[in-house]
Amino acid sequence: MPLPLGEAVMNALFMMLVVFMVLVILMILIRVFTSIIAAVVPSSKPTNAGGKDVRNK
Amino acid sequence: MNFGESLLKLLNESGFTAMTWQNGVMILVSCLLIYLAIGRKFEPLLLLPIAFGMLLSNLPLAGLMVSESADGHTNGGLLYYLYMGVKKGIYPSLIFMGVGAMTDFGPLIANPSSLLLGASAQFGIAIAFVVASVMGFTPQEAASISIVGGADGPTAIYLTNFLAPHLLAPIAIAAYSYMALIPLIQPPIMRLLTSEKERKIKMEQLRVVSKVEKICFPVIVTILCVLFLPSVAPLIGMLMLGNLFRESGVVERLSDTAQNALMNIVVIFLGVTVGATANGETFLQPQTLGIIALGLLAFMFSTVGGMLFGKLMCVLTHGRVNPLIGSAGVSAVPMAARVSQIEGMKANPGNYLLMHAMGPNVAGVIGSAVAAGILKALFG
Repeated sequence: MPLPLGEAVMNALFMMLVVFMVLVILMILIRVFTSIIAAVVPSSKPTNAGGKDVRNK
Repeated sequence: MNFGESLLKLLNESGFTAMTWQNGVMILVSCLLIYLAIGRKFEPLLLLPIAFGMLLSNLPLAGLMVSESADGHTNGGLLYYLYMGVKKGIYPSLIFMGVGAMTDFGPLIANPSSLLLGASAQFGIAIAFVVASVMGFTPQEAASISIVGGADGPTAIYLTNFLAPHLLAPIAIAAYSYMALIPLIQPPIMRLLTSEKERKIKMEQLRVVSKVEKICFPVIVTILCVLFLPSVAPLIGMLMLGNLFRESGVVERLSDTAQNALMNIVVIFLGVTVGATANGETFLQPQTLGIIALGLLAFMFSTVGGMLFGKLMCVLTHGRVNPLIGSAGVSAVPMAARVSQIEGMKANPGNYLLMHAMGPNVAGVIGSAVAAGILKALFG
């Protein structure tokens, strides 16, 4: 039994919303964790090719 | 028994007498796919086993896909047993482990906002789902068809197997065909949605990502994604396990096996058995054409979604993001990123977008797996 148009649209919007929500949270967590890792493990500070710290530009 | 009777008996027991017109058409289709794989090199690693599996299952009386009898006295066909890996969702997850072992998530860690492009490039899934529902497909079928927009073969097979296994063959063939056609499908859309000035934008070099970050990344992603959506655990879990093998640097043998030997074995089993599901009676239906058209629609709108979000990021960052990298959010690694690079270089020969496009590209793998998990949770 196919979904009515309205319900199909709502399901599609819900799917996109959750995809965005999960990936936005992941994005924030990556930023937070990379900052923490850089603070806790000095040798892991992200550097550019010249070896200069580029995190707090 | 004389010679004539023996010959007649042999002929009656041969496959010729059991051949239907559907078998004949499917044998021709499989020969065409074999030509495309070998002659045109369209995703040959998967298309060739798929085409040969299709050929084998359409040769009458061979019985390669015949199931085991209920009492267990009669054995099933060879491909029937191999198909259990697809039916139980094992092969797509193992392929994801190989993909994880081959993928460098560095560009994504260096630029986490790439994840937004990976999310927006799932737009085609939403559009195709609505259109498929309007066309009369059930929610399970619509979800399976629309996932082609994620441009991820294993994810499409994984979800379809759970929601609409009877559509497995056309969906898998559509997914891999469109992935092979990325260099033809995406560039016109990319040029249509961007100006010459936007395509010429040079992006700043990405920072170098430390080893500790690369090791922590798969662990963090696994915890977050699986806690949010437990249904994505088989795909995301295996993807990140493979990546941890790669980045840890202490299990090189396992990483090598996941990338090469295991991946190749699973690709053979997956390809042949998915092809073997393309039986003439079930494949040659009017809805197969609908699935192929909807797959293309999903793919095109996913590209549009990524491009439009790329343009938005271009505006918000005052022209520091080239919108061409948005189209790479459709997952197909690394083909989509290469297309962004090629289009960027056409506009400006000194424009190197490959590493910038790899961020959205690998984000698309995560995004399509998350989308599949949501659809499985909603309609499974």
